[in-house]
Amino acid sequence: MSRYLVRRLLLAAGVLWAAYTVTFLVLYALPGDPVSIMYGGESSDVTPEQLDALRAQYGLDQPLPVQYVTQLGHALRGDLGTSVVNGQPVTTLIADALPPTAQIAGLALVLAIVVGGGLAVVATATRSRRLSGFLLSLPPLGVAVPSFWFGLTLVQWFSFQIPLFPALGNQGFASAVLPAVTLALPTSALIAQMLSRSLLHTLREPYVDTALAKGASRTRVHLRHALRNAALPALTVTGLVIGGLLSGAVVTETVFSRAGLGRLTATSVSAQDIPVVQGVVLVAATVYVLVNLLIDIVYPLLDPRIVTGSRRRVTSPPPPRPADAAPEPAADRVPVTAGGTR
Amino acid sequence: MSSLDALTAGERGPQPPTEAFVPTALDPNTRADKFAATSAERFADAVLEREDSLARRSPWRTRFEDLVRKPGLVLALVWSAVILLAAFVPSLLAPGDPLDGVPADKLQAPSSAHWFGTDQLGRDLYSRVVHGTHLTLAAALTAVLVGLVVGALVGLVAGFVGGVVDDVAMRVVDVLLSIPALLLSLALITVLGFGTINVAIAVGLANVASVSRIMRSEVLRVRTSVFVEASHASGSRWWTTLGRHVLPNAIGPVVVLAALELGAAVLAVSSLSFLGYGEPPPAPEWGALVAGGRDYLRTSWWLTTLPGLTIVATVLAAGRISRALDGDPGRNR
Amino acid sequence: MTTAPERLLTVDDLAVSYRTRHGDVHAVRDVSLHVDEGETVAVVGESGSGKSTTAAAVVRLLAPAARIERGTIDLLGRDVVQASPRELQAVRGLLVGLVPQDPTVSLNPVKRIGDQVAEVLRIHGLADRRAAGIEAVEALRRAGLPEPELRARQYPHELSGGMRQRVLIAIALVARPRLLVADEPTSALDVTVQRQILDHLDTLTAETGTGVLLITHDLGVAADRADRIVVMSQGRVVEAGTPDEVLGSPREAYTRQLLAAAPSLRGARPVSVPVALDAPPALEVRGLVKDFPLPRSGGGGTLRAVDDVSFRVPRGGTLALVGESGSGKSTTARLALRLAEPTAGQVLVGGRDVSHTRGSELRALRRQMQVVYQNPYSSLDPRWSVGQIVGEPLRAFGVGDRRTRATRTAELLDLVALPVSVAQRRPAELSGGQRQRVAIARALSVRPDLVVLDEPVSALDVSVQAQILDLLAELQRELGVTYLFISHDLAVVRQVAHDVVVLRQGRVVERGTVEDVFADPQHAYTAELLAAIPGARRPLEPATAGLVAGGER
Repeated sequence: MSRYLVRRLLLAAGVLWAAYTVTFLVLYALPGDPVSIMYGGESSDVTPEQLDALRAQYGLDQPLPVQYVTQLGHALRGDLGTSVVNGQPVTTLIADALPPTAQIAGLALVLAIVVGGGLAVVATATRSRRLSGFLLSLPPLGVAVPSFWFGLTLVQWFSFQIPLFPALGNQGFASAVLPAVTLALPTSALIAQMLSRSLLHTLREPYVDTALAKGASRTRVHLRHALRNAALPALTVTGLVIGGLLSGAVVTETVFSRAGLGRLTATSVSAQDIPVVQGVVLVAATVYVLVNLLIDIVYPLLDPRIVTGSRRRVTSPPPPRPADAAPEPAADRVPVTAGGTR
Repeated sequence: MSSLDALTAGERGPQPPTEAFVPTALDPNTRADKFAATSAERFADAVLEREDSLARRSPWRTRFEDLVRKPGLVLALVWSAVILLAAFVPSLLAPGDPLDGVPADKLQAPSSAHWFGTDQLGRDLYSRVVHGTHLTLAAALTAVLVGLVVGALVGLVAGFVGGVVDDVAMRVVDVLLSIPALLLSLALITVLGFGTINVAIAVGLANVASVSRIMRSEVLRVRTSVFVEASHASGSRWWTTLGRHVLPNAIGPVVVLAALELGAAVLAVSSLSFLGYGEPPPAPEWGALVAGGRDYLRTSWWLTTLPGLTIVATVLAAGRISRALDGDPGRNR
Repeated sequence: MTTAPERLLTVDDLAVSYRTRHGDVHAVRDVSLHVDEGETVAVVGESGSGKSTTAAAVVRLLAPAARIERGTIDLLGRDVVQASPRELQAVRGLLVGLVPQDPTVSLNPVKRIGDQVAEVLRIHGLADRRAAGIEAVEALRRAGLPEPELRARQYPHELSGGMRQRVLIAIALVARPRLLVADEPTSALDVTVQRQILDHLDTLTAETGTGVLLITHDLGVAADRADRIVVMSQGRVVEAGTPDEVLGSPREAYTRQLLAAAPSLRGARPVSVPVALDAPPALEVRGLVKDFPLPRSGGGGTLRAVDDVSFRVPRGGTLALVGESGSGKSTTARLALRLAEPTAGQVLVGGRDVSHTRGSELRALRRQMQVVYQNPYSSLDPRWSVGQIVGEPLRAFGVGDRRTRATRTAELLDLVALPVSVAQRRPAELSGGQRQRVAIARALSVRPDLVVLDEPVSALDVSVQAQILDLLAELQRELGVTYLFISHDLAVVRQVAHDVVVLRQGRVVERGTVEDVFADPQHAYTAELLAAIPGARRPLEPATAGLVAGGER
């Protein structure tokens, strides 16, 4: 198990490093001059001499590989550079912006799991074809609705028509409700789609018939047998779901004029503040990697078929089925000529 | 197995063949293939098979009957036709000028004169939506084209060549997938600058990873299918097999994907134009139209609602058509 | 105590239909049958005969699109057709147990074996958590599972297919139901395992007087196991009676046809082809070895799938490669066809060493060796017409112009007894047997010396099987083509092959002529395989209930 953990950790670190490299390549190595993008523009009154000075200040006059190594070194020490707009350290900006975004993203995730998961379970469990048909038609609709428009519509109804929640800002829990609902919409649609497809598939598995033949009720079969099996594949996309919440925050926080990571991203892109954009992308990649790391650790506990250690490898699926011919001679007659030692 | 592996399970290169030529069809274990399904299913299969052959005998009649049974699809097709018309000959649908406003008529609610009402400058919203179709659709199509061409190429090469090439390509794809697509688009826009074309390219490139992964698994599926090996074994040259067996069978899912991606691209493009990274103001991009209505939310609901519904309808239509191309899975009846 | 056995199940005038887009399809019509205490009733039929639908109706586990139109199902005085979901729950597991078709997919993969068995007792409130666990282990032991305590703590994927089927038997019997419905309980298993499982089932039910409704496609299995046989075809009962009546003197034409086709009950190949012994063998392999690397995640190492296999296939003859799953027979075929490269050893075609031939030479070699795959549903490109498929090798080797190729295609279709008109059709429009004929025509198009037949009939119904086997034999007589015949089914092998090579775990355990091997097997494994052929024991011992069994439980 610990070997497995170490392997996973190293893999996660590798993905993170590669993600850093990708953002560096996109932001610094694509044709175009970062300094003139950041400070230039057609209407700029910065002189070429000043630009050169700035390049030197940011180390951008160095060859690309040198810049890369230097920046990577800084990043490893927790220094992501400074914003070109207001000169603040990127880490500080992100640290300030993270909590409000985490608040609505967390709320949205809970909402999405409850609504999306509930919809999938009810839609697949009900005997009424009409109800299930109606429920199953909702997720495609949820995916098709642009969240910026959905957010505005919510404001229209629940701030203006019926003034329940504030239309914008960061004051208190009430102000987080509409943004969270907005964020949750595409996420819950995704969860509902994945889970209901998975459930419908699982319910056709022969082991469901086996359970019914035991005399189990449909509810029992649905919740005790089908749901757990169906939820496993859905679990693997959690990383994508959470990544989706982060990018959804860009739009949502703009709609609700909320401070947060998304708003920071939007303003930084508008101001072409490259170090901040890079910082935000890295945060997103880190979250994704951490979530997947967590899933990797939890998954084997939920699915016995995934073997973590190297010991029980005979049971892993690929080569011929272990002991099919005769049950009497035990399972260890697999013709394995062991190559490497464990 | 990592969760990423789980996602790609079954498409991870050549498995060590155990006993069979190709896992599913030839492994003698699966001689039970036919017996494994319950007889009910088997019977249904037999029936469906007969239906299939009936369908083949009179394709047009059955197609038409199918359509009548699927009002949603008919609606989607009609809407797509309207959208295409609006994109190519907008003046046919809306003869008015989308940029020319009558200040006296500002912020009017929808009426027979102004179907979608007017905005704060007295411009006809309906004309603006119709004329904006061209911008949004062109951007979405470009994005799909970029994503599909680059992604399909990467996936095709990775799936067909295999080995180290495949490993490297898929690791890169894994990394790209760790960055949410919208954020990747935003990073690209930061460097490329604003404007419809840049938005389109950014959205397209952000999709390369997922498209290439799907294409690869599709190529692997077809490449390892028995009829491809049969073709190989009967003496066909490999390029004949690739061109006459693998591609025709792998292309179907890509077309399905293209339709689906078009809907997603419309969403992404209008999100970015809502955020203000598209064409500068007077241009009536759909996302920008919604953004423009934001300040009049309290008084003039139509400014956000109607362009928004247009987007929803378009994305839904793309999704519905994609599902129809896919042979309507999930709605099995 | 009454002397007459109690009637457990009565199915009367049952009709089941499936709703489809093109109206209702009647899967089962006017079916009546009954099962008494301690009796095994076998329902035999080909695919689409409605036999499994009948079984599913008895436990009311029909597909959602199915509807019971008419008739009654009486289970110990309870009307199953009219029963409410709650009443059904009380019946299932407690009064009637079900052994499903495919053990590899019929257990919940994320639950422990013991819990899955105990669940039956828990559902019916027969035991508390602890007691249920203990009884589950006991049920597993009774089902013949070695080390039941250990197995109870394991998950399904850790058990072999045969062991999983024993688990399913334990689940079906743990609550001691009066009736057992076994739906093709062994068709997914190897023959030797099949025999053990069926033997065990016999013993268990004989002890307790449980009635068994056994659904099978295999007349041999029915002949061995049943007290009464019900033959079904196209949703109707064709014939019913004791095995002696049905098999000994069938009244209906369909039953006779089915009997004639059943490989296990058919005799040996009628005419042996005189083989020129002095001619060089069409194919010879010497000391073939094939290793596959194991996935690195599993710790590396290699798997030896084929281990020092040698044989020769005489020109114009048929050599059968026989083995159960995992025996390496298909890998050997792949090596012989040079679709894979051997790790060691030689492949000689017509006396020439082609073990490491590559490129255009290898392609030229394909003209001498063609292959027919097991599953005709997947080996034909669904987008191609039959004419294109049959003509593909001709095109590949540039034989003739388009016109002569078309003529040749028509000849080939005629050769495999298909109407020329099918050339325009797509594979989806053909039945399984027709598709396999197309595959054979394709293989023969370039007049190869050798055709590798990889389980060519195992995906087909028995009556179709017999037709295809006859066709293959006829083609060999006419064309003098050599066959390498891969099969798991000794009964089929007896009908087609001249020589047999028995493989086990990648090694040759026995070889010889069909006559010798079948009459006097030298290796214990071969003898076991032969004994496991269903139907073999019928003439010797009529299936009698009450076999020797230990214990009073």
